[in-house]
Amino acid sequence: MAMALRWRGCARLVFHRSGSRALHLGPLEQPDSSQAQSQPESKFTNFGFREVPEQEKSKLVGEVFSNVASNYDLMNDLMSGGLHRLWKDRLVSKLAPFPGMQHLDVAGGTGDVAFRVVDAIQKAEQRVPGTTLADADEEDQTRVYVCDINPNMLEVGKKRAKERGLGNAACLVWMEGDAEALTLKDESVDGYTIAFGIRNVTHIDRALKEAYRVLRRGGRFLCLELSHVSTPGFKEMYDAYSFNVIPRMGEVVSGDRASYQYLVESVRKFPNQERFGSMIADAGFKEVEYENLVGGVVAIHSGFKL
Amino acid sequence: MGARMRAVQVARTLKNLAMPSAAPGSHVLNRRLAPIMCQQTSVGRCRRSSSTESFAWSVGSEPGSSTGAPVGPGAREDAATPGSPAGASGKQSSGRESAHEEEIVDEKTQVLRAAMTHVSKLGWSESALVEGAKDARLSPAIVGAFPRKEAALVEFFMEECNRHLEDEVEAREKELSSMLLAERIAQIVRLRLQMQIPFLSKWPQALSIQAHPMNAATALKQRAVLMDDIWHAAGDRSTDMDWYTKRALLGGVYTATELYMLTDYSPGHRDTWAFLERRIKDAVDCRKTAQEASQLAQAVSMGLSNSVSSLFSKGLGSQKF
Repeated sequence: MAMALRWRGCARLVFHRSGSRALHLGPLEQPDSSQAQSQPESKFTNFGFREVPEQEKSKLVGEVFSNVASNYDLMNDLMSGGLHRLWKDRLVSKLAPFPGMQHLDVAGGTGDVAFRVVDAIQKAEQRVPGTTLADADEEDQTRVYVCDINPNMLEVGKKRAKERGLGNAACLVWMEGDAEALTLKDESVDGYTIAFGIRNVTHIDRALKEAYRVLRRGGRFLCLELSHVSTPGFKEMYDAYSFNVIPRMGEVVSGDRASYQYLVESVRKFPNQERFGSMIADAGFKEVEYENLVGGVVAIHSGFKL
Repeated sequence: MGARMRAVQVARTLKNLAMPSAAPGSHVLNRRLAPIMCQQTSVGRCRRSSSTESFAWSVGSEPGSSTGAPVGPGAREDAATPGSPAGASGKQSSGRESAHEEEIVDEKTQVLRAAMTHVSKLGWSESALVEGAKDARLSPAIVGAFPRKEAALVEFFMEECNRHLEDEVEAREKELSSMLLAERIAQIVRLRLQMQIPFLSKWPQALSIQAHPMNAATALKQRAVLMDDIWHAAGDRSTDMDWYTKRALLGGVYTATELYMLTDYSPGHRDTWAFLERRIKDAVDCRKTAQEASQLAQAVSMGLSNSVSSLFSKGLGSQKF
């Protein structure tokens, strides 16, 4: 079954792989990984199963993404058996986009989620004639902001937008930015989605706070992320698949085993559904809930700013 | 549902014990008082837990608490003060409750309230909710917090109306108490149906939403509660075998009238009210017929058993000789 897929995200600089991999592996100074994640001031964080200094994580993640970028779509489909498309569809159907929506998709460089949101809004417009874009004010116009820290991923998204005929669409705004320090104003968007991205953020709590900041009252936070499987039997199958098949698959398809090793490890290090849910609640969100898909391989967390 | 009905019945039985000669129309207050009073008057019969449950139910059904919290803080407090005099604590509790209601107007309720103003134009729809959210100065994304979307709107309206009905009945207590039972019921049903007039053109849509399998359970429950409320408002306190019959009959009358109303274009819905009166007359007749039938059945069975036993005794007797 599927592992998955969307790695996007948070890489500011692209390091040469062999160089950085050897770096910063001080076994003597490794703090407990869960502490590292819950305490923003702690100096170490996890990168897969390794402990790395915080300032290195974004670089390492960036390196991963530049390694996988060329075969990104292919690998997503291969690893998840195409399921990642359905997961993203589910995410957007939960979001229930409406005409005039201001939406922010973080770590969405390739535009997968953004295109779905635009499609859903166009469909909603057809359903409700009378509330079209045309008669809306400039400020009320539908906008989907696509934010990604990695310019390469954004380039992929822009290219795909052109292929879809959305190249010059005013409703799509591409921006390079860090999930932990968004450039949008306070209370400026109705929806915030992050799909397969928050795992790669160094300080999850800061990213959540930023999400809370930019959302309007009543706005919705949705996060699609690989999560934890707990069903006995299925868990063993899933673990065997992700530790044996995926890295090998990465090696064959994109000649890069390490990046895919990072992927499966980082999923294990990510807080489980309940804990991540409480982190979202800690950031101030209300009505926090999550939905497991494929037995917890991925989970969609939802929260409202009220 | 079953448990709730039982709780309601328990509360009602207790209420009858506590206040045998309750005037019609004062049921709203009575219901709120019931647990406190029964704790005083019939301590032996009243388990604390059951009274708390029934009280919680009456609070939970207030439309103000759309979050569905089963027990409001007010309810706990009230139920936990058994020793205070009934009248005084009753007043306090209803005062506290209304304050509580106002506080609890959360964002979702705000959206629903605002959305109601768009229903006559946009129907019971997501777009009405979106407009409502805009009016409440909230992001329309909050519509995602209503998993059943338009059903939430219909249910909200039903609850709001049911609550409003209680107030209306309370306000017309005198007028109602001078009427015959059938008239009283007709009047209360009419009061309730009149609330739907502003949305009549969109009401078929609401009915179809309620009939959706996803929403049917809640819709049925709300209707059952409404039938309960109407019988209560009419001053009916009985908990005999008729309990279900009465509610079923009234449910039939109410629904028939509701449907009749959809295609009634007479001025002031005159035809609907005439229809309602006829249906209620039928129902009363039906109840009488049912009672008569059961009496007849009793008489027949008694007669039969008599003749059977006499046959037996005769038969046995003849064998002896």
